[in-house]
Amino acid sequence: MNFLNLSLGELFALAGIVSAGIVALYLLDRSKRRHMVGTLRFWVASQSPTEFKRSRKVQQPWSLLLQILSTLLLLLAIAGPRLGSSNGARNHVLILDTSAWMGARARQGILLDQAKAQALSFLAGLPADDRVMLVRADALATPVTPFSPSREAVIAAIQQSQPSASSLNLQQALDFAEHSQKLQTERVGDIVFAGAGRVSRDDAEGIAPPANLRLLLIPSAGENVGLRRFGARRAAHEPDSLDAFVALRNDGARPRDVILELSMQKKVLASKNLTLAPGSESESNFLFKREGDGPLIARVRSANGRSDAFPQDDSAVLDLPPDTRVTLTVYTNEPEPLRPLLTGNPRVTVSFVPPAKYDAQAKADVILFDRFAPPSAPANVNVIWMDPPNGSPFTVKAEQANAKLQNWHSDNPLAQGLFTRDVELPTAKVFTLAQGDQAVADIAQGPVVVARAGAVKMAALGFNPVKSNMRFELATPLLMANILRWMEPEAFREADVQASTVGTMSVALEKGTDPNAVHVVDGNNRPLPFTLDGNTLHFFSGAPGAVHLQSGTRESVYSLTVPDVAEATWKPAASVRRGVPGLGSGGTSSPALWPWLAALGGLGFLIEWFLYGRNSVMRVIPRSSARAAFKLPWRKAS
Amino acid sequence: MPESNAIIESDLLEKLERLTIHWQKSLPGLVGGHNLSRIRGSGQEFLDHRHFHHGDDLRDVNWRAFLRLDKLFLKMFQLEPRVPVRILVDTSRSMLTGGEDGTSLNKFDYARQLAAALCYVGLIRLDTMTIQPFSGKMGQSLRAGGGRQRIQPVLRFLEGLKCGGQTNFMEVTREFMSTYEQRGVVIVISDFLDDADCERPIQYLADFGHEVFLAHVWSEEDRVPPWDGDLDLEDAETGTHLQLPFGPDARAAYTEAFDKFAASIKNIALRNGGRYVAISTATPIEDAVFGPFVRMGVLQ
Repeated sequence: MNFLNLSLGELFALAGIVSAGIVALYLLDRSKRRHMVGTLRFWVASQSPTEFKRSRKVQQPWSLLLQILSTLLLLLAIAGPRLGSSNGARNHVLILDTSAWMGARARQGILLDQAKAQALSFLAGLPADDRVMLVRADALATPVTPFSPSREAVIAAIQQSQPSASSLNLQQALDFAEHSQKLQTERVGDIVFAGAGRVSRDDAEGIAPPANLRLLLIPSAGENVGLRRFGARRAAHEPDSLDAFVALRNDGARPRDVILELSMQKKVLASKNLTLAPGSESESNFLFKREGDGPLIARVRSANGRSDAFPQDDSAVLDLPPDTRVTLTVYTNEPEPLRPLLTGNPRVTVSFVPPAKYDAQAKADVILFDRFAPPSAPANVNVIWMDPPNGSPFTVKAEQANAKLQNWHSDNPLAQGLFTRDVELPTAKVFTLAQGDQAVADIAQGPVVVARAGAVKMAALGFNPVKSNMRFELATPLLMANILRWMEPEAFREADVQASTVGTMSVALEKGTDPNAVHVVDGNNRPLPFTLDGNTLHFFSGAPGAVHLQSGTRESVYSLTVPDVAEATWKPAASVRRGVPGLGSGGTSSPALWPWLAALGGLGFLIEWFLYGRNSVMRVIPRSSARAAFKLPWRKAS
Repeated sequence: MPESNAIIESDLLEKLERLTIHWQKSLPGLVGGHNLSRIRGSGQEFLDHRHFHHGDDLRDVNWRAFLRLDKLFLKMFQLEPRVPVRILVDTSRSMLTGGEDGTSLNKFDYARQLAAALCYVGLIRLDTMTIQPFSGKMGQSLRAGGGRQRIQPVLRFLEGLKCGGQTNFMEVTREFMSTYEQRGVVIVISDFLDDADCERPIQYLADFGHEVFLAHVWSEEDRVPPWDGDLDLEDAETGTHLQLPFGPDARAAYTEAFDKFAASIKNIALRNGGRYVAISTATPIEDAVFGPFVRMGVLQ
């Protein structure tokens, strides 16, 4: 019997609970019922002490017994008992390993082809009435067919299976198979695993095989060295250079000499010869000059020219973000004092032009006017006004000599990180704030640094920082950097790109990152769900592709294209059954008893209802006999 | 022919036309009735002779006997009085019980049908009919007479009756006797469930000179309650609750008590020259009228 695959004790416990429920319902059914009657006088007269004593007991024990018996019969019917031996139709779960490693080369085809052949052999040996469910197992256990005696559907599903990009989570697949079998009333068959059993090292230790597990193991393919992680980011101090990081692992049993190359636009940018010990992982860093835009490709190949068993992980591609820079045109008659201030940032391309050569149509991202106001303002360009004369869009309220810088508005992005005070400025222009203007720095008489946001951003400095004591202060280059970052945030966004495996990713964010500023989108710019645990962000991507993570000024691109190859092979205990069983080893089915038990249970309920139901013959005296009994004494009296 | 009505079917009314309300007592009344009376009066039927006394009406002298016997004898005639028939319909809340299973009417609806049938029979014979509802006190009554065409107001009146209140037979009897001074036929349609005594008021009615017909209406569950187990019972009239266990033995004792009660009502009716009819609401109204009512001589 397979009552939801419960044990005998569990079945009895369930029957006990149901019986207790029936008794409770019975007592409730027979408990006080409210009725409205014409008078109470006859009711009072009908009571006697013996009657009262009986009422505390079960009044219709046969009714209760019939109900319990009928319920037990129905429970047994659900349990699905059979006559004769225990051989009968069984439910098998066939777990087909479709992890990335199953795409490895074998002697003929790939490993998955061998697993398919084994699975088909197992199917061919099953009795005709056994039912089979196919489950594809990689990082997730995915049922492909329900429990079905139809072999055609299962065979078609097996043949359509393809290796995925993720590694095998075998324990999850086994748990799923066990649970699926428990939900069925038929006999439990085998849980059959067909595959290489390549799992992560952590998982390999903790796999608990179920008692009915049968293994159709495929011998793991031979030598393989593959990429495991690949990342690149712009070098901090060299804007033209990339800092790349590559991790390789040797999954084979012998040391391997390999060549690791990085290329862009079919041009090898860097290469390295490596020797990897068996089972070891090697990490390499490259610093190389970026030449244009395009995908960055990492490729590993054997030094002796022979390809390995799993070529899918021999290369990885990174889609690098475009190399953006800020072009800054400075109109000044004194470029030399400004040069060290502005050319220090490698992401800014600076050109110094005399005001006499001013061109309103000249292309630039940002224009700086040093003590110069052009006759016609440039259109659609961000502008920095330094010590602006009359004619600038900022209104000068007063000009103050020997002014002391007193305050920075730290809530303004232009003043972030600036704390310098009491610097004496020989002369400073105090601005009148227009609508939308924000003060950045103040002297006693008013704001001397002002920012104006809008479609075109503008900033005005009421003094020349390189012509005062400010040139010795750290605040001066920081202020310029803040202004440029505020005006062109895209150019200053830190970008790093990583190639990784499909599945769950955990990313450490910078401290203090605003959760509202975090966005995770896929390659089609569709948002992906994510969770934030402190400063760690988790997201899951089930399909290969790119995922963009934006958090404030930082953008990370995850190219989830590297196949996730597990590093260990599961070694099951010797007691676990292996191989394809003999033809028809499941035996033949025996006649089922459940229809008879169900009919008996239903009949019991019917009899109980007929005898003890509300309108039953046992509860109400027939009307004709009642009338006859009523008439008799009156006739005598008359 | 009266129209069909929700209270009573026209087919039944047709059948009722051959019946007559019959009473046994000699009751006073105006000439024109259909029941003979032992009361001497100006009727058509000869009753007896007696000696002539001074002051007697010379028109009643038997002159043939005087010529033969040379003595004056006076002829006496039987009176055929028109006797008022009063139907008392119980409208207390206890009449609403029964019929909850949907297979039969409740007692109140059944009593209204019975009253309509009896009233129609009386109207056919030109009796003066009075419908008098009552519970704790007498309600608004309706007097009808003059033939079958007067049944529609009666049916409308019965349809408009509402149940409510607690039965008080003693109070109702006092009020009845003070309201209706002329003796007549009193038909009481009730379940007679009065927590006070209902026997003495009936006795008073009979002692006053009325001919009392008691129509005891009961539902099946009034006599044989179909319930089992612990019951929470509410008295329909008083609202009193009683919680008790109930089983086959208690049911038998209950039925026995009910039968005793019915027998006591029957005895009081018969002892005073009245008649008693017990009807279950499960009995179709036609079977009740042509069955127990005819057998007991209430209708002929």
